[in-house]
Amino acid sequence: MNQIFDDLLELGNFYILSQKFEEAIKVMKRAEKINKMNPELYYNLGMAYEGLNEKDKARDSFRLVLKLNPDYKSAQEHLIKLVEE
Amino acid sequence: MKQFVVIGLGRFGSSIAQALSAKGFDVLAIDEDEERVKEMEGIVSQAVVMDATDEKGLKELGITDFDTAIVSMGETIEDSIMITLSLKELGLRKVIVKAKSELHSKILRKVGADRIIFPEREMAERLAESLASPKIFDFIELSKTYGIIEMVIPKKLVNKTLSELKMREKFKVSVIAIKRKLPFTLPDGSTDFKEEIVVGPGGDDEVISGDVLIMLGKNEDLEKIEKL
Repeated sequence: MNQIFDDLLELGNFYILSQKFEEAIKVMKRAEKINKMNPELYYNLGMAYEGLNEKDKARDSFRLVLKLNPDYKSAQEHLIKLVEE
Repeated sequence: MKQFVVIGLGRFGSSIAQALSAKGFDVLAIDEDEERVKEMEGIVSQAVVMDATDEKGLKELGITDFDTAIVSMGETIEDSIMITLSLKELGLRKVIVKAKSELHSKILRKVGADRIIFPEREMAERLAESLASPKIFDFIELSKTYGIIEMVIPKKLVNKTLSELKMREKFKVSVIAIKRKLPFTLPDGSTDFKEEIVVGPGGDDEVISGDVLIMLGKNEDLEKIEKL
């Protein structure tokens, strides 16, 4: 089960790096069905939404990351940037 | 290098003084209030406590060497009028004055103000525009007819090159720049973005989901794209 989750996370990351943000979201949503407690998943989701300039959804995702791990530095930085915009 | 004098260091005045200074311009900041002037020290090139309605004092400060003055006085219009008059009499080329109402604006124009600004109103209009459509980041009205819009590319138009999109023929607008987020990997393996801006994109440039297009055109044509 965890292996599938990890693979989905990696695939999502690959899609983000390839600027295929919509595909990344689809993959992350699948991963979410396996594990809702992983901050990295929501960080990737936030990045994909940010890439699409869907700022409200990006903010919500980064907030979720920080709920799961308040010390997640990159999520803090992205959230601050999005709130200030 | 351009030199600016900012008169009145309230919220707007101090913000513009700081912003101009951060852009590397020489800024002289003036206010009657010692506290406000103190806050500007070290941020702007020079900060002076003085009553700016004193024309002689302004002259002694060498105000005529400045290119542009920004007058941002508080509630009362009288001081703004007096200062604008003095600055124009001293020969300042460009005087920008903050106004509270249309009536103030008319009076200030009559005494020589080159540009009147309503910061609150302008900010409110921009905010309203962006709230009305979250896809629109900015709109600059160049004239009553023409404008520049910055908006996220509508889904219908993605994954095509600019020549395939035929923006000029179909929508009568010119794409003057594309802003996009370029993902990259951080040393810890996570991803981050850096922003890239393609100025004057060519026909071969492809637009992808999430790209922000900066387009120039007639306001009515820009509105049609907003609705796509």
